[in-house]
Amino acid sequence: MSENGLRNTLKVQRAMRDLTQADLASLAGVTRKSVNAIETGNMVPSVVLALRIANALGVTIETIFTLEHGEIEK
Amino acid sequence: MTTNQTDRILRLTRRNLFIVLIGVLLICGTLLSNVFRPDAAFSRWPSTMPWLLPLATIIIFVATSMGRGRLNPKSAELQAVLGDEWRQVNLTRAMRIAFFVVLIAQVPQAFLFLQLPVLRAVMGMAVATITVAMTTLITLFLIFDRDQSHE
Repeated sequence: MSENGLRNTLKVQRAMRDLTQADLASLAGVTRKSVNAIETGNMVPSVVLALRIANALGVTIETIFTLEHGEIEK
Repeated sequence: MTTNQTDRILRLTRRNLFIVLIGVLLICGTLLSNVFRPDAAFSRWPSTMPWLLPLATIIIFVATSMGRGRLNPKSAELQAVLGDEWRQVNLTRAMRIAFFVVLIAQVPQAFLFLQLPVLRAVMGMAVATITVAMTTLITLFLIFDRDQSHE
């Protein structure tokens, strides 16, 4: 379970599209460090950034980001 | 938007911050040296070499604004770096910790400047506080913002 209660499938989604962190960062208009921080669970993105990443990957936000079970029960 | 360009801007901003850190340490170190030992050679370099700081400022400005170091303020890459959320998070973390470090540092600083005359002690406290704040903030930001990526 991640510290911030947010689970993400960003790495999987990225790999499915054969995109590097740098490619995704470029598409979403952020730096590679941000993409890496989100993937590793070190950062919770803002709604705007999450939407931009989802748009860049062509999926809905829920496909990438979901709450941990403990967080849903709260 | 090219990622190479974004990475280059990130490297440039880190390098520039490192230069600022050295500048802060040099200037604040001189001022502190002036407070404690006004006769020391290190305290007197601004009066013996008054051209050094303006010259260094011009050289740094030319180096960062000409040729390959030049940045277009409206470019998508620079906007991405400036508005980057990870950098904002790191800056906030560094600011929060630096604030507490400055607060805690007031006690040892007060003891350090206790034996000095009031005016020099006040100046020393002010310079020491600025030094601690700036060095802590910049150093922590550089540490938090270092590259940790592994694809």
